[in-house]
Amino acid sequence: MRVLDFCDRIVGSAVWSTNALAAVWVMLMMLAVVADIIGRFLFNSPIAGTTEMVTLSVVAILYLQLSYTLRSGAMTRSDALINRLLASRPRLGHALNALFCIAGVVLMGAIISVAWPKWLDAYDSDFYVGVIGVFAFPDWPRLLIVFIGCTLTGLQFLMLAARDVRKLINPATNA
Amino acid sequence: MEAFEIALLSVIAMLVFIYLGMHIAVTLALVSFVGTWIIKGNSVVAINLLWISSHQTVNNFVFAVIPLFVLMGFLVSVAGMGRDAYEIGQLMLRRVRGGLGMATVVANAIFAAITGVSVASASVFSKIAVPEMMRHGYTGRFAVGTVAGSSVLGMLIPPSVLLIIYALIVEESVGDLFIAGIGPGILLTIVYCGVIYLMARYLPRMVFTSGTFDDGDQTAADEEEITGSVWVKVLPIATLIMLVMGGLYGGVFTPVEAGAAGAFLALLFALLRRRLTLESLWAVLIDTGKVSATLLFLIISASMYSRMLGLSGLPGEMAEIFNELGAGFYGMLALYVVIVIILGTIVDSVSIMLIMVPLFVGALKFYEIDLIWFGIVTVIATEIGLLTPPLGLAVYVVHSTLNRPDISLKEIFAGSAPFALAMLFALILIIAFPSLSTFLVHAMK
Repeated sequence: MRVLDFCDRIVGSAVWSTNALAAVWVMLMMLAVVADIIGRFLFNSPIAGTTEMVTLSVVAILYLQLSYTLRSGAMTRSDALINRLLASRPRLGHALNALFCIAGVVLMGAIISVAWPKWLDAYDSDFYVGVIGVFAFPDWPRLLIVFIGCTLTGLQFLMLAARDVRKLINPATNA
Repeated sequence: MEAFEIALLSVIAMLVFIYLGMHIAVTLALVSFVGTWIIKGNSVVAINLLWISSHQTVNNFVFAVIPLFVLMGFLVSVAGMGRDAYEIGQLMLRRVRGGLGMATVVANAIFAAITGVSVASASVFSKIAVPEMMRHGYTGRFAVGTVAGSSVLGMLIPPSVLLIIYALIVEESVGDLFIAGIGPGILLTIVYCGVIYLMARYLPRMVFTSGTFDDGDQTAADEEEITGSVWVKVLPIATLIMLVMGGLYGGVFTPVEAGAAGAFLALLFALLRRRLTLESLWAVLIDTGKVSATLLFLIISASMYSRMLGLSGLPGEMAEIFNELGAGFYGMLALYVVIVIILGTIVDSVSIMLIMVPLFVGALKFYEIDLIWFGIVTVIATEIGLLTPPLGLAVYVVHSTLNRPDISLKEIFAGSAPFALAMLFALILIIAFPSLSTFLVHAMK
């Protein structure tokens, strides 16, 4: 059981780090777009690459924050029925909850299994986004972020599943 | 088994899993993945679709509107503009019978014009308007009902994240949907105020604890409370609306730029009013990320789902079956509205939209419907469900924000029932007279 808590702490701090990174990223993205607007109006010169950076930012914000969304319980679900089950028939409730989290693990696993080779391909092949000569940057960081985000989310689902299984086996634990 | 039957079974399976409490995005993506696998008979197509959905769907500049408008919504709340809107409403309506109730509605409409997140409206006005109304002799049931009922205006009046998401999934212009929301938003505001007036006049027992309206007390109290110049409250809100909406329709801004400019201005206002500490800014950024990530992930899983629908041909089959039944356009629309309202009682509005819109837009294509108008119909229909038991989400938000032992969920459901009926009335009007939502769109072109 101590092993489980240890793993949960490790996953927790990784989840928090990417989340914090994404929080700063949101702010920077907003400022970049505003700077672009100001550049266009006042100096008649928009900032090259804003569109590409903003596009990358959307993917980054989504995947860097996804695991935290799950960990903090904000990922959308209709929880009224399951909450009632957890109160009235805890064993059934925890079993169902664990099953749902394992479904999450499976989904993330499926994405990761493709994301890993794809990002490596992109890394090796020097594929660029943007207009070469004006503003361009490699595409692999975006795919790497998808991989990292899905891996962390998958691990977080695993931790949640483990917590439910633990309560299923030993209802007395307070975790 | 035919492909469309597999898809139909998948849709039913999704609804069951969602009801049981599986994460909605996981359900949509995983069931669609399995459905595609069965339809195509091999895993290669399914896994490719999953990969394309997960990295390509939101890999587009336009999707930045979601985090930016969410950020603007949270900053506007931190800047205290919800209270401003409420005080403006009070100033306008305090002498009218049931005026404080109408003020809540109008304040919601004003606040809706500077924020796109409806959760923000519900929680802001639960805290501001409910205590205020109860102190002035309104019944608790009426006060919470008004707040829950009018919180839905936020989804209709631009900017609205719900309209943005609809625009993105049907590939219509975000700007057009924003304009289309204005007419129905104002209509609903007026209908709500009408309901409040009628209740205050003919059913005063339901509205006031004492059974009558006593305006002397109310005005005297308000004169003292509303401090500071009116312009300090009106100007920031007016500037924000002018910048965001004006910039968007003046052709100066793209929707993404409008969102960024709005968020930036809201940030400045919050700083100027000394409402923003490093700590609250951090909380705003984390919340923005949480809401955006949730929405974007739902969009990704829904794109997996609509790809599966496309492969299966289910929407076309549905249209044919309906044709054979002789149900026609209005029959199908009625079915759609009923399903959406029922779903609204268990699922949140974004999820409903992502599940039902691809299914029915495909089936209704045959009738050459106006997708802009259809979006407004969808938004109102989902919102009715949010006020209806057993699980109306708007009601739950109000309940958990207030967290008062004397106000039960049942009270809030009872209080918002007149507003749910008023929405149904407005919805029927908008279906009967599509120009209520489309005339401005055409006028702007």
